[in-house]
Amino acid sequence: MTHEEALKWIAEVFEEPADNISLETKKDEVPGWDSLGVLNLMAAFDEEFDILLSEDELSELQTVADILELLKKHGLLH
Amino acid sequence: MGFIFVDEIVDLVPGKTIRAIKRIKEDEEIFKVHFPGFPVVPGTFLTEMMAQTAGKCLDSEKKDRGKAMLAQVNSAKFRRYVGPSQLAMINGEIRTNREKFATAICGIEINDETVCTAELMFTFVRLENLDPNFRDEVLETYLSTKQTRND
Repeated sequence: MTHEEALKWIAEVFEEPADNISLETKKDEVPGWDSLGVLNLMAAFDEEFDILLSEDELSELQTVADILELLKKHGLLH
Repeated sequence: MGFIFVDEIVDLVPGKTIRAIKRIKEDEEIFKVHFPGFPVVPGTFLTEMMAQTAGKCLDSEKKDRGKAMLAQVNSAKFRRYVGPSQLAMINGEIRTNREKFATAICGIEINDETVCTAELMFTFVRLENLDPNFRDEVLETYLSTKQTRND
């Protein structure tokens, strides 16, 4: 997916308006990025891309840019 | 109707699929208020029936991760009113089953007609957080009966 598609995908995962999600957005600025949001992120990676995220990968996520890096690491971002 | 929304498990593949039944009686307490003259099972009750059913499917695996708890209703559709004196057949299919979470696609049929569907997400609570005397009688009854049949 492209950067733009990735930002839209992240917004959908956290049920946030797309306009509120940018590379600079921090975890604390996204209401839906709570413990349930993390579960949704795990489920989205798992069910949509067949990728099981590790505890370490999840704990390192602090910004939207970190999620983009994760998508890139798993070959999902171009 | 208390808060046990599954009377009996009729078929179970642990961690994969389950079918269970709930007999909705004519004189359920809820019908006194929901609604007088037009008794109908609340959608939240139907959702709980599906959640308890899929939860038993996950719990039957007896994994260390603990007891399945409903975390999210991803979608729920209520297609028909469900009234008194009905036999609800509750189906659950576990779609994703991981250490931290699980998702399930569930539905309820009455007289072979689908009355509602839902996609549910579960997380898990470790068993040491529950009362040591807690027992899922419906699940244990099914498993013991199945064991008896297999012996």
